[in-house]
Amino acid sequence: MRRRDVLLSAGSTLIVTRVAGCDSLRIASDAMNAGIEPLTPVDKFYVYNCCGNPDFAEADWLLELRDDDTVLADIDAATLHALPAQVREHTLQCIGGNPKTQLINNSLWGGMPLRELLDELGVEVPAGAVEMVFEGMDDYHDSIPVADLDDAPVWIVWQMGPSEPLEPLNLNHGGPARLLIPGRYGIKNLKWIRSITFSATPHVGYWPDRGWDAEAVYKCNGFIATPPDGTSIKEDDELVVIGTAYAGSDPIERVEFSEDDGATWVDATIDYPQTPIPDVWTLWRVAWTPRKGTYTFRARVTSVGGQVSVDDPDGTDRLIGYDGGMAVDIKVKG
Amino acid sequence: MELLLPLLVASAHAGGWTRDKGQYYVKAGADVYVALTYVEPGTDEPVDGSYFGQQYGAYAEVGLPLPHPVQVSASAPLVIGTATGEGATVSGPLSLRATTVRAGDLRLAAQTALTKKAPLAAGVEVKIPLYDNTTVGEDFGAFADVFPEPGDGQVDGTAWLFAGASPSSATFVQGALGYRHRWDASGQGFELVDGIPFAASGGVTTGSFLWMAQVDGIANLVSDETTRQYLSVGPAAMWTFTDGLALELRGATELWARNASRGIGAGIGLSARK
Repeated sequence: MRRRDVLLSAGSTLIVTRVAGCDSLRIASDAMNAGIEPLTPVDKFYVYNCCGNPDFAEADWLLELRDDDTVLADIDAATLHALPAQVREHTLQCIGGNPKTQLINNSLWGGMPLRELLDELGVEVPAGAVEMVFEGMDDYHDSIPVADLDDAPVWIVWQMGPSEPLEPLNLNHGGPARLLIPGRYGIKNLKWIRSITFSATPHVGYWPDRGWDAEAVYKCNGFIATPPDGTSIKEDDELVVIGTAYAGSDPIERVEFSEDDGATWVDATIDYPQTPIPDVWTLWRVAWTPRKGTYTFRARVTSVGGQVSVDDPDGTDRLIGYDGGMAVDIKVKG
Repeated sequence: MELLLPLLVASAHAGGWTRDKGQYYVKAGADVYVALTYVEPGTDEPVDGSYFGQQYGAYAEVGLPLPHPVQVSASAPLVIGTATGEGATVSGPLSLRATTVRAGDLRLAAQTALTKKAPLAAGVEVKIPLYDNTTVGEDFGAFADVFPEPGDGQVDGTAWLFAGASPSSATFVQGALGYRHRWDASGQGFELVDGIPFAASGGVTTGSFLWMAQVDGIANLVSDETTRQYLSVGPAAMWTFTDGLALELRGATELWARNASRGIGAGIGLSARK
């Protein structure tokens, strides 16, 4: 049994977005064309973790910098937070984020390059270290090559927000301190960081141990944020297709849009940023004129470095991160 | 989000008078329900949003061809629940209306008259969910939580004692007291406690109309933070418009509920009896 219908009520249009089996979901259309804020409010920034928020007092928190055998230095929250914070804009995307969940957001972050913290504490990277192993207060762990320290570069942050002055990093987002790893999915960007070990041995992180990609390097991908899949609208409705595009440290050069499942393409308008910026998402839109019929919207993303989102809307492999451009089916009624 | 509608079905039937061989009662009905207080299933935590439920089902009681009055009954509904809530997307929060359509709880029961000299009976009942709550909303990704569950996902086994009386030819009263054991069949690991279900009704006949008042509910042996308890009351009316055929109306509301939503329900049905 499949049902589709349109209900009009004062002040908004309820549109059937999708039917799966006999279940259905409707979304108010006045929210559909709302647009994406370039810098996500803190309370709207996606939250994901493996094991729930850890329970601890900030006064008891200590970040240890270690080699395989000893603690090289440590720093408590008060001392860390008293350091002058630099601000960077950075987008995080969840490796498990897919067209249904679209876990990607952008924020300003306050902190410093981890290298500068090491210098502040007089810590030198041990010779022979091949990996930086991170551990959080929730016992979550992962690692990256030690070369990333300067190549990425890795940041440690303790503030975030859509505008300055930034607010302290709250517990949901990893306070009192978390890492930002440019170029790598959220699973590498540890929250509640409590130790960084410069290790001479390779490490298998929490999610890689469960089948997820160990490198977790961002894939070139695009989401169509609105309209949702299965939307049914009328010819005289106005529709602005909006979405995101991201490829990590490889900025986005171009977003293309198709209304006919990839048969033809037109360039989308890039709303943000004005020029390509590494590690910052791209927001795009297409003002689309509804004509009676059925359509399949697609997005295709090309990065400055030449990466292109794959043609399959389902992506290549969910365990490496979404690398497609989505497909959204819509129907326009006369 | 759990649907309380099955209570409307459960409270309307069975009683001290057991159907004899060849007797039957069948009914096709529709019920609606609006939640006044909407809580997380298995808790008392309020949820922002609303709930509206529909239920379409059939019920049948049949007296078995035995020398002693023994009846069996069965009911099964189609449940349509609609809840509103908010879903988070990269383009901001969206106001959502999610509708779940599922077969509901299958109820099977049997009762026997304890004596032919008075309306006293004993019975057993089992409720079996015909749905899997873990699949509700699964096709809608991050929006899955907005979808209401069609029932509590529990298997209930109940032993009942029924008693009735007719103070006059135009009046009746009846009551039921039971013991219910619950099993969590949802796969979500709920630990449930046993309860004492109860029901009572009284009615008066005027011409072709039967006017009734009903109360039913369940009190748990231990008041925990998961297992549902409630007390529901409501009126009912039956109009027998031709021999053996009747139009039935009923309403109900929860005066009290724990670990369950409270609301107002109403139903209409067409029944046939012999």
